[in-house]
Amino acid sequence: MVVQKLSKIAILFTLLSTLLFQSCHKVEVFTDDPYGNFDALWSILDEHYCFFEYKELDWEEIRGKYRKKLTANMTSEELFDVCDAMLMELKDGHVNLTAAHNTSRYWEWLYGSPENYQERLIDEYYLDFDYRYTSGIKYKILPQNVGYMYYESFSSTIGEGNLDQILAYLATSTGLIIDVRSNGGGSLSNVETLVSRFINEETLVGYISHKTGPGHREFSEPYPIKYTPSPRIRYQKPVVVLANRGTFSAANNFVSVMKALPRVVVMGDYTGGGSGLPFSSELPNGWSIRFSASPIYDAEGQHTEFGVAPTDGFKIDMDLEQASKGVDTILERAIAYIAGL
Amino acid sequence: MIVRKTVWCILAGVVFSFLSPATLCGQDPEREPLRPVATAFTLEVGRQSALDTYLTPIRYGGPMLSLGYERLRAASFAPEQWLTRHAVLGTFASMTNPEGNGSMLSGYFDYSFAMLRRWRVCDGLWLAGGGEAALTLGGLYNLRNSNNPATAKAAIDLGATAMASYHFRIKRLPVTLRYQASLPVVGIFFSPEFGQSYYEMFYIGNCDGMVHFGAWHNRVDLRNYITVDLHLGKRALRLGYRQVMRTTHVNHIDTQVFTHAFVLGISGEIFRSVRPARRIVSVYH
Repeated sequence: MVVQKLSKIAILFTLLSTLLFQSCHKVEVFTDDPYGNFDALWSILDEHYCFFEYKELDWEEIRGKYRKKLTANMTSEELFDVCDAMLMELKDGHVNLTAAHNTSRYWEWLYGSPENYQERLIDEYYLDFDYRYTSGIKYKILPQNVGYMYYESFSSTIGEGNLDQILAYLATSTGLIIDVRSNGGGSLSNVETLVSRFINEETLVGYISHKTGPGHREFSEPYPIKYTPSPRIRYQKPVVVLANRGTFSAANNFVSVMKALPRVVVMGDYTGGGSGLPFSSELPNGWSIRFSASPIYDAEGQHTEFGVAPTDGFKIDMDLEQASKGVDTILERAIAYIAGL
Repeated sequence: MIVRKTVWCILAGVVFSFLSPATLCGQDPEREPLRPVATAFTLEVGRQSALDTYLTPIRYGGPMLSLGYERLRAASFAPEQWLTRHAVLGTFASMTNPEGNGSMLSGYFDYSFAMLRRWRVCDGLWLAGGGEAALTLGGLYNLRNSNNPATAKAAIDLGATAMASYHFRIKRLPVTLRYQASLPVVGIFFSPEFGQSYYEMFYIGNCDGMVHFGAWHNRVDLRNYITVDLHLGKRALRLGYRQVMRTTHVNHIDTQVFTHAFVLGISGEIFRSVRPARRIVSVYH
């Protein structure tokens, strides 16, 4: 009797265990060959990339266009070139395929535009190689009593104490130029740290959304991003933000936020864009892929993926003839604007 | 019939799990049996494989190490029929992708409290079944990712647990062979949305929809634990095998973490009272 009961319990438990193992959801596995790796790359982007609709891309058609270039015996480098060409269709600086021998990148927006920034020119003719430097920020009060700070990368963490020192030093200036030309981005938390010194009340600075499923139109409702003013030193005078096409990603976000604030003017060129928060994934052969996954919109709910325009009337390119004489015409315009207020 | 009894047993165990034994006790202290605490400390070494499609569609694998603690004791209110079990398990694993150029770390902390009804089948052999409440905290960290570098794991479960124990001798050496299985049935657990970044969740503060009701349609965990206690004097040498399966499928994100570990440890009974007892109710025999 006891043996019979035990047998039934054992059978019941075995069946249950089998059922549970079977209930594991199947995850598609791609083979580690040219076709498998290509399909894995295409599928990762198909499910996760966030700008198909906005950029009006037919990803299925693009797949057909490039998949027929594959051969079973192609080399790793040949496969990389096909994948690279397919990714260029996305026109996205946040898309990078990284293999041991190369990293694909889309920089057409940068190469097709004037550089509009020369670091050596600024250092030599405006800062006299004599400036203060902390938290990745160069700063100085120019002879016209205009404050100037150059922030090269939002990857450099801005310390609150360092920022106090910078703003206290620049407090006597009549206005401030924040130069983020050729700033390729970094951490969005540094954007908030910096912007919070230029607002006096909670401010809606944009929206963020994310994909809720693999479909190209499956997105969450945009969620508002609000910054609160810093309780520490805040700058209250006019501000000019200088941008060029090299102003990308988090720096692009910084410009879009600052542009919406009162007393702030954006000068120079369009920014480089890059408004998708990038995610990473990988292929069976170990190559890693970075791509835009989560769109961030400006305060009016608009995409800034292709850049932020300067404030109306302040679009200006650097005059290279003047630059050869040590004059940055974009910076000169900003100095004149603040000095003339 | 067996199924109905099993279900009743699980429900009773779950209910008892949340009731303090003190409220059910009410016995004369002088008549209480001695209920030795059976504890075990274990070091577990094995292999873990992990797939989390929020991080990567590629399965990682590598060595894992666990530290475990287990505490078994006959329940105070009905020592002959019921026993309680506390179990703590901390697990760390370092894994790589098949190409060997990507690394992933994982850490899990598991705590569970179970109350089991036991039946003596024959001399030395008893079976037990009941309910279990479990807490899981942990996460996976992929070292090569950008804004999706890690995914946190947190869950609270109620489930079923079963145990079989056979105490016998090999010549003069007392041996306890035990099998335990745990199967969470319902609970709540954390998961981000399909493409939601931790920046959005924890920096911007969009935390809606992160907590999910868990059942077998979206979350299946299973833990199997087989041990042999070789009683060498007051202490026993524990040898065993532990298998843990953690799977979720929610928001189009799949997580599958499997561990297989060899168990080495020390176990034994601790007598918490020196008061003379009329009888001893052990969880060994």
